[in-house]
Amino acid sequence: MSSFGTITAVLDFAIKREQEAIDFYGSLAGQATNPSLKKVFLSFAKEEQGHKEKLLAVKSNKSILVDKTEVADLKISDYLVSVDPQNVMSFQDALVVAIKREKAAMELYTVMSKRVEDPALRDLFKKLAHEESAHKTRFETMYEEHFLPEN
Amino acid sequence: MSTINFILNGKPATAETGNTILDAARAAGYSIPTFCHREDLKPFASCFVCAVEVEGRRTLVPSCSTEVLEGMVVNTENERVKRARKTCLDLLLSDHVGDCQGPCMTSCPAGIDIPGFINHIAEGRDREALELIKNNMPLAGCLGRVCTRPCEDACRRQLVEDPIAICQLKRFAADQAEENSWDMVPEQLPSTGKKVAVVGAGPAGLSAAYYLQMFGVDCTVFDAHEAPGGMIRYGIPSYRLPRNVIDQEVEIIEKLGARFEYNTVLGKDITFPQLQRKYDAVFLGIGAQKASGMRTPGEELEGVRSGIEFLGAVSRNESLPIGNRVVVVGGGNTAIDAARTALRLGAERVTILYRRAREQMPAWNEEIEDALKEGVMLETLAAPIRIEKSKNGLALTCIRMELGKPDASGRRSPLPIEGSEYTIEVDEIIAAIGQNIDSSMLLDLEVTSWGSIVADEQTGQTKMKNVFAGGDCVTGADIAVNAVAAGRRAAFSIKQFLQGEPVVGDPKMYNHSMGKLDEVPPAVFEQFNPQERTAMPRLAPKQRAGGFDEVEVGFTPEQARSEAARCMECGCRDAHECALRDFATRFGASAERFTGDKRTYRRDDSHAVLVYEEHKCIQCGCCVRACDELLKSPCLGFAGRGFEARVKPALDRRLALINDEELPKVAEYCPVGALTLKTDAVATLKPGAFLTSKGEL
Repeated sequence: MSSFGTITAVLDFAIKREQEAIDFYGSLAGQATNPSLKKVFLSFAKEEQGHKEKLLAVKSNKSILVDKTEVADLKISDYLVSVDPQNVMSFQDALVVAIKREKAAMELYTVMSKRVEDPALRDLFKKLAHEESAHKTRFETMYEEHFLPEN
Repeated sequence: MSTINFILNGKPATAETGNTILDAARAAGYSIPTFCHREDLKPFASCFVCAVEVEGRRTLVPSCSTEVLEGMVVNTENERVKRARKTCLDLLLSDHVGDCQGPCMTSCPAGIDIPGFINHIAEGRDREALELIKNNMPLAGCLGRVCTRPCEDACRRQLVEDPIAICQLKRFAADQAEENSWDMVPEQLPSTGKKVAVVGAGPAGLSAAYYLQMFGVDCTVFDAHEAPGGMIRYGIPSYRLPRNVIDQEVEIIEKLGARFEYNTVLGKDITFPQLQRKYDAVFLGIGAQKASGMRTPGEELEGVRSGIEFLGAVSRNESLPIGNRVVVVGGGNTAIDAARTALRLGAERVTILYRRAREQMPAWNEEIEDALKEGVMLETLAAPIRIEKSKNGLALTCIRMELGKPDASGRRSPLPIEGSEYTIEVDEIIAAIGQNIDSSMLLDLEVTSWGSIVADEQTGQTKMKNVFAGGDCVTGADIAVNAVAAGRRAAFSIKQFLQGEPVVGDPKMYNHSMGKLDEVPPAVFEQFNPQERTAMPRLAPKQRAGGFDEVEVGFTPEQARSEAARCMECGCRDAHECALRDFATRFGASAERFTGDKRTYRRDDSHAVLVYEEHKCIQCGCCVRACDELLKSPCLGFAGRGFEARVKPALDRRLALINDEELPKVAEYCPVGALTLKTDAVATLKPGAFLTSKGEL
């Protein structure tokens, strides 16, 4: 945990992760031959870009993170079979990949919040976990709407 | 009489001395709206909708009573004039009470003339009823069985007791065609020599092909399956929709000249670019037939299949090993159909597993009730989480759910209850949780992220101008009537496109409404006595088991007439002739612009021949002047002043007490539906598919 000695270091880490996500979806969009899937990945990359900008605003003190708003955990991801990102064939596959990624990020920040001593850092990790949980719910809600309409 | 020279809409024009601007402009070919002007009556200049601009005059002038003068510069069509006319119409509409079309008709996606066809049935004109239905709905027999009936939800009769059995009456009309061996092939316009490829022989494609053939356009319909119908054949079991009903309605489209090429898969046997090259236009009605996977571990095991796959296999008469214990996952109509079909194939125990609560099931309540009566079990608030092979079949592990707090839209999502897992032994799992669209073969055509085709809602035209689309492939899995409506709209658009006209689809007329159910004046219902809705005879649940005989057996003619007679005939007798509706459409007028008191609903049908609906009167005075100037009788007159002024029978009596044999002639002078003849049945006067002599539909 030594690399996370400061708030800035934690934010830089989180910003880097969002950039990785932007690149990840950007590269999937590049590979996609199906135009609708290309569109999906580009929209996901745009979502991640929004997350990154939010964190950059936090870093420059233009914005703050809150974890007071309630986020319903639909837990859809808990029971879905994982999809290999290189083998995404449909919007449904793509959403599964995105939901699982957000879930992993949420879990990572939750674990970190438990490991750090510094209350300010703990609070920041909790807020980041909350952010990721909100992103997961957004994708889960999309999944529900499109792929569980009759379930 | 000398000739006057003046300027009309920027061009030199002539008129005779004493001509009004209205006469002169009409003689020059300009259309000027008016309510109160009649050739055979003295000018009245009350409605002001004929207002025109005369340069040099501060205000607009009524053209019906303003003489043309030498050198006058007149504008009848500029923006100022149009705005003034619109304002005048907005004001007239603001206190107008009535419906142009009944709520059933406006809520029918296909826009079927419902009061019209019901009136035909009530009076024993079944063929006319079917012809009227077919103006908007070529698959009357199919949809008469499977439509989810948005019209009945809107039917005002439910405020008396129950809505009219509109859908079943539609089916009755269609049944009569078979019963009486009627040839229902409609007239066609001469061939245009144009060719259109229709992809998909489902409700959207069939509807598009039907109307395109009527328009003289040659259609070739391609379908991946071996028979027509799309989801209504491969997604709806034959006990709800017998296959011969589909076949008979498709046969009419074949007789109209459409060619059908089955077992032809787009992207494999034919390609999208090939179709675009070979045909003048393409209509895509490819549906949403790809089942959504559950993404549950074990889904790939033998014994697990999708609802669509299951129902499709049954439709194709494939022999299906069906176990004794079947679980159907999902709460839509496909799930119910799959469950009831599994029972008929001999399964002993069929359970529907649904993640949410019963009230949230998207399936039609009547179908759910039928399934329960037949012995299907329903387990709500439970979801599958794992499937494994077991000794005697499959072990399905489920988790109990509870409804979470309402989200911003008020919807309560189901949330799993930790530790509530349970496992059941089953032989077969059918997943019917939704369908999506496979549009990967459409290459450069614009689609949304989830694969639906992007097409204009009103015209069905895509970004590729010669490609049109409609039905589930645009909306996602949806009700069949929406697909039929989309196919019809696209046929109009394609015809316009092929003729080089602006593509506008089937433009909608202005529609005035008395409002939602609770906004309708109670006086409307006073004349109706409760009379129970006629229940369509059905096979008893015991008779249904083990077979695929149609459950609903149809109305007898007596039942149909009695049910049709319950119709309150909402809608206006004058809807197709009404000048107010015509002008409101032309000038984009709205009843919402000005708010204020509405007129009181007051209907006088005491007269043997005439009906007077005071709430629809626009005070143009034509009827009063016709009585005065032509009948030389004061039968009708104005009572009250200003906004309170109303046209009333003399001495404010009921119309029946007006003793003048010629009075009915006055109905012809009413430009709206305030004074009508009882012989003009609501909404049946529209020229339609079977009246194409004018060369229009």
